[in-house]
Amino acid sequence: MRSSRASFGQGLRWRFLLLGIFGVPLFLPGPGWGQAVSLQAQVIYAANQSGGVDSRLGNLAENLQKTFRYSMYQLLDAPKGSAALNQTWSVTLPDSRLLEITPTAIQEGQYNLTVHVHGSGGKSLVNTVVRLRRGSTVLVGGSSYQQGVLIIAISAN
Amino acid sequence: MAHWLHRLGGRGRRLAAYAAGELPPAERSSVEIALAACPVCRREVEACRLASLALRKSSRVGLTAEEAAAFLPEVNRRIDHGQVRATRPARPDLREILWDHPRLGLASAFAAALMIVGLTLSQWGPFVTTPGNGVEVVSVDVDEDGSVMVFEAPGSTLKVIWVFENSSS
Repeated sequence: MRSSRASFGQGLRWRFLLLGIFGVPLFLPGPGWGQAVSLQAQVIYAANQSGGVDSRLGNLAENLQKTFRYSMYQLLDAPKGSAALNQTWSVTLPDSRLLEITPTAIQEGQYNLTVHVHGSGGKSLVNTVVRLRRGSTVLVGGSSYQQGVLIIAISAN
Repeated sequence: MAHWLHRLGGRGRRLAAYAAGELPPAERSSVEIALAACPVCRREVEACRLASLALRKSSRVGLTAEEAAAFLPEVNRRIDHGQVRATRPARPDLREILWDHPRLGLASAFAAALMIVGLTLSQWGPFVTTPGNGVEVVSVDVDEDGSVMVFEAPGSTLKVIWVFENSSS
């Protein structure tokens, strides 16, 4: 009786030890827990009209000209902010539109972002999930504005 | 060193079988070659032989009818009073199992390593390597009146999500 108790106790000790070793990672917070992502949105007005390329666009201007055929690119706004995991960063866009960016996963050097653009009246224009490497830029565009379109360049750091 | 290699290779049981004279001639000669290079193995074989001899020489225990009738109740009484300590558990412990079965031990270690890697990767689940420009579009939803195009212009490092709004809306 006693020997089976001792054996049971020893078995239990092993089980707890194994549970401790293999179970702990299950309860550890995932990567990115508590981190904040620095976000930048460049709001660009592109149209076929005079005005040329806004010098404030820097390196982005060259890529925009390789990508689109507009003659004018004007930087309307370049808000910067930060958001923690699953926290939403909001930016007001021209014509009462709204940009919302939510980091949903963070790993060293890579970010999963949910990007939501609402039109005036709260209508959802586009809702996308993108995976960005640090310093990379994704463009969300096409929404009409004045004589041309709005292009939003989103990057994360 | 050779001894540990023999243990890891599962030769411990072969040595015991050799000591007991239970190996076929072909295996016997291969064990003898191994023994020539491993003094620890030789000592182990000798110990096995001695143990085997001791067991064979030990006299049988005879009990009278009275002693036999009193034996089990006495054992139970001592167990109930905690007078007899277990010298070893009824079941072999994990270390013993793994040591006696090296392949099982290696398989367990491999499974544990796989489990740790799997758990670690599952923590980093949503990530795969992003393509050359560092942007991957996972999903895009647009208003039912609109449509969307995801593209990358030649020569550009930008990925574009272009939304076409319905002109009537």
